[in-house]
Amino acid sequence: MPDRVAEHQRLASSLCCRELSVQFGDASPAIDSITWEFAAGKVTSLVGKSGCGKTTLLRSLARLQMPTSGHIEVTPPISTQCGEIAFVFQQPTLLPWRTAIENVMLPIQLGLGHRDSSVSADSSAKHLAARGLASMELDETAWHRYPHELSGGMKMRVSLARALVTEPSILLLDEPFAALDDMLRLTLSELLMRRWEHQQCTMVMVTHHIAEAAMLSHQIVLMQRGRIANVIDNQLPRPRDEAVRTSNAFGELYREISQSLRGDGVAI
Amino acid sequence: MSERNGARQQGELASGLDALPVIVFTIGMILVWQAIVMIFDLPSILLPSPGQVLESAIKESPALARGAMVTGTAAICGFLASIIVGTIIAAMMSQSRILRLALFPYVILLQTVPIVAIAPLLVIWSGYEFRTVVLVTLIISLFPIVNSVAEGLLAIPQERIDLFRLYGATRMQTLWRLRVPTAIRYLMLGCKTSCGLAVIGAIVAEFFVGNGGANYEGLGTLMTGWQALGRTAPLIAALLVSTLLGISMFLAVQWISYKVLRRWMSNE
Repeated sequence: MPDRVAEHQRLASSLCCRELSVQFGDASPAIDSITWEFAAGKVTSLVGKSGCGKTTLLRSLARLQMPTSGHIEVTPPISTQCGEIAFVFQQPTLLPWRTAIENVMLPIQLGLGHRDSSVSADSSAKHLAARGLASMELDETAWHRYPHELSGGMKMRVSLARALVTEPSILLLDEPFAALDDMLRLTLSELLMRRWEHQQCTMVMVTHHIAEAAMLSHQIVLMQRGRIANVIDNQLPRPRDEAVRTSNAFGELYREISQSLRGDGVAI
Repeated sequence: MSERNGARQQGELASGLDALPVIVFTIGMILVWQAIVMIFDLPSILLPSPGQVLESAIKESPALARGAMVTGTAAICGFLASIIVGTIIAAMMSQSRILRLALFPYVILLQTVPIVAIAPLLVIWSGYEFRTVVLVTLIISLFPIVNSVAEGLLAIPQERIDLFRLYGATRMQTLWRLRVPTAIRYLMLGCKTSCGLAVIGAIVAEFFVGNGGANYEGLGTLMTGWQALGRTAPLIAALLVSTLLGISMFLAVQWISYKVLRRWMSNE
């Protein structure tokens, strides 16, 4: 097990933005000359009010948004063709004509596969997808159901399993739990953390939820008007179980984040 | 709310009870028709009673059955041809903006030029033949197919396109694994409009094809013959049979659409 973790830590890449700017038309820049390194194998939360540029930054990191100027360095470099960067959208974004397990198999079927190049046969893809769904604790009876037969929480489990099936070295999440109730949000956050502890990938997550940012991240990056307004290091011990969640340290961190948001005139 | 409770089933076909209002309404209409004939003492050449229509339908049933078979075959052939030709045109239009700009005016032309004006021309070019009826049917059914499929191939939610871009899907993978499955839903909608038009197209074409003295005995040919002889009762019977033909085709398309789409019907 330690060897496996060490291997994944070696595989995780850092993302370094250099003078990154994104501008849509003549409007003020959505991202304004950001230089920042998202450390390898760490979890970073991006918080800030709507329209502050956090989703645009995340899409730029995923290469779904071309920067107007500046660039992003990935160290060590990775291939975009191998499912090394995964993205979890705000909506589950499942294909309605595919069952849960077929949705999870999609990244592998697109020929991008797993790091292990021998994994290409359909049965192997199915095996990996099944393992992914099991790790997201989706009931086995739901694996062969279509998305319209699944609840919001089940769909999000499938969406997470799909993002993780290629064991990406970079995982980007855009408010993945925004539409879920608190209990489900907590459950899925814990599952996500369990997978992160196993894979130790570089994770960047946009969230509006202060407690979620405090629970999951190593660093909380506060954004305002396309710039990084503040960065808070999260020293809470791991695993962040119930005891950590109810500790004074957690409460202090929560206050620090919310005060920082208010102090900057940032309302989320 | 539990996750499982959120799951739901949709897309059930209408139950037998749902057919009750239309049956009651139809019986009411027949009674009103009978009453009008009796009260105003109308001659049967102007408006025969429902009984007279039924009587002539039974008497002419061999001719009507043969006519329905000929017209139905022509309508189905033209309709199937419109699905194939329409899908090919729509696929071409979806892959290139230049092709879209070049072809779309002609697709609109198909919809706007009156079919009764084209039909005689096609008879001159193609002859008093079955194939001419199929050709007219193809032309009249084509527009809804092209329009729906093109819309389906182009109207893909941005997040799904992003998902495929993220995994480096090729143009062909995006077409077959994303655009085509999305378009099937739209194709089914187009088919529902087209199948009714196909019967209209076949009958209109038969008005002209039958007049050439050819040995062609579709419903349209029978209608023009009986109209010339002043035989209103079988003319109405033929009208009802052609209506039944259209309804049958619509129900068949509805059933196929249900079978194809029911597994992944959703509100998306």
